[in-house]
Amino acid sequence: MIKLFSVKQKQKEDAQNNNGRPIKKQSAGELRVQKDISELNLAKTISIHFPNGKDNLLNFEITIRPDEGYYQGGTFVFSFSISQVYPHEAPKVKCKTKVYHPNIDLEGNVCLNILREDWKPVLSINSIIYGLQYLFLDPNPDDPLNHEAAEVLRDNPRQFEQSVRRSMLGGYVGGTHFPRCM
Amino acid sequence: MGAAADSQALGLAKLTMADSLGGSSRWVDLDRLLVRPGNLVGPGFEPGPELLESLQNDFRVLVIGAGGLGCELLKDLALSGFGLIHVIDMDTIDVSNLNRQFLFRIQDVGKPKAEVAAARVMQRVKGVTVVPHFCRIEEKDVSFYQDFQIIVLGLDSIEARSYINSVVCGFLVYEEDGSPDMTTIKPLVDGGTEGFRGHARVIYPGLTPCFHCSLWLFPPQVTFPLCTLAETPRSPAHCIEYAHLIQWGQERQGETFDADNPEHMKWIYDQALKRGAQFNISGITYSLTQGVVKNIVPAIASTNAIVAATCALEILKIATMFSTGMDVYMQYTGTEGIYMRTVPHDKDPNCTMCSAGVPVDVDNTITLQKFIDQLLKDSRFKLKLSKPSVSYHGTNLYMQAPPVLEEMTRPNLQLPLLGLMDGNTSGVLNINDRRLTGVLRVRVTFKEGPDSVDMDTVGGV
Repeated sequence: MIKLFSVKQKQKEDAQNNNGRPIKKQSAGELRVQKDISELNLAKTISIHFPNGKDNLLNFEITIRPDEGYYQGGTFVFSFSISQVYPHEAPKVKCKTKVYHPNIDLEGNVCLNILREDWKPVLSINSIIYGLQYLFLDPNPDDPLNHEAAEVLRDNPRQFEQSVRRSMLGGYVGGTHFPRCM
Repeated sequence: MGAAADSQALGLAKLTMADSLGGSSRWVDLDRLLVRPGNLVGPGFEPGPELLESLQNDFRVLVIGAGGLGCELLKDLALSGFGLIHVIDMDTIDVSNLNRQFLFRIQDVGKPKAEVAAARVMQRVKGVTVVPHFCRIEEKDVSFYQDFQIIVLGLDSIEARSYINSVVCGFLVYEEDGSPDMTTIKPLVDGGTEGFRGHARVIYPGLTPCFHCSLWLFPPQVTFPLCTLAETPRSPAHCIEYAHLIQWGQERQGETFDADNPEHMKWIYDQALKRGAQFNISGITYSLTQGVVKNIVPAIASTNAIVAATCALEILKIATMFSTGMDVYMQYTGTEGIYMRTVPHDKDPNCTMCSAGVPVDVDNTITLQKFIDQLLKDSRFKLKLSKPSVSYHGTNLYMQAPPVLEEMTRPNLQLPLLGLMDGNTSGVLNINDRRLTGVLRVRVTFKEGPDSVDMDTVGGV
């Protein structure tokens, strides 16, 4: 405890900043994301884009172009939205590209454990990008958001491969149209 | 001397104190604390009637939040002699508030909490001025917060607390020797309640841990895997969250979900009920829906009263030093009996919000590139830096990664650092590096370069 106010001196506290210039407030989330972004280690299949310029790191897009697996040749864009209390809260990630995938639904919700129940503040943007890459290399039929795609992958991998190709080329799979992303 | 004589003596003392202040016995309880010296007082305690006068005339306290804690705080502070109190709250009164937010009545439902609370306190407590602000805390300019000597929080979210913490830590200025400038310390008292539990803490930015220093103490938020929600729901909360997170996006495209819109909430509730019926899960109620979607825990009046009273007492201590202050964090649990514990916490010396930063003196003509070179040669950062990125408040001066940002910021390397820091002769830079676990704060001070002496001419011409 320290004595800040003295009545005898009738000191009205008018605390001024030394230089008086207005200082842009940075939240804890902004500071931590600065660190994550400055240490990004992107593979050549990944690129990043900052729609609001180099000084707004809270909203950006990651583009993944898998070079192997079912999704080879496709281009998939994910939007990242970082909150003011990152890393206390996980980033909100949505897939902006319509994709036929057991773990990504047609609205763009991504079922990735580290985005939800397994998020820990020690994880980073790098960890999430690895996780997203892994989804394309190894789609998981046991944890589905798109049940139909999961069933096909589980029961008939050849048909799954063909459906993925067709969706990436811009065709219909099971009554749903997918815009071309190759 | 017996008990009778003692109480007589006390009675006389009471009369004397009251008389000495012009006959008013209204503040006689405060006088007991403020007018005479004692053994448990705070450092530099100066007893006297001027203390109460200064509470009434000179102090400006800001109460953030006019809800469960806010109502209690306003009452406690007004009755403790504070003469000018401001209160800020963006909410309007809901009928569910009325069981504990006692400044509101049924006819006030729908009106702004801050305005009704201010009016009612002024009605009940003679002489106090309470100024309401019906808006979000982010809408106020930073200079608004600078006007108050003490700020007390009756908030309900981490985000809001984090925001105010960053504002108050922003006022903090450090001296050359790394110690905080006392005139820039704005004390913050933070209270929080959730059901039967609560906490109260005192924050002196620069001296005690700020809110961010101990953010890691909060447990992670409860979230469910999306696939559990989609495939194998087992609890009422799963059904509700499925409707909230997945069905809303599918069936009400383009509409942003608004938790305060009763129609939206009812839609979620209806969908959750249908899903519960499908998976044979019972227990879905409208109030559980609200609880899960808005993260609400039922509130209990006594918890709010206890935590607010603790906060108000600390505010009185900070203002007058009449007793030793809380060191620094009090936890209250009322689930089984009443349990309170106060623990000291240490400041995080590397806190991104409130730490001083390592002092580095630089020549005022130095370029950003030369500054980075100087850091790499500085023995204090040996082994901690390899490829540092530099930021100044919200601006990224040089980012080593990713390639697109490195390209965009590369031109800054040749520019003078003083210009990149808006001409301020001293300021804090954030340095990020792969080898560091957190951010490295560096307090740069620009100095005049050494007078260049041409060694060839000295002693010559």
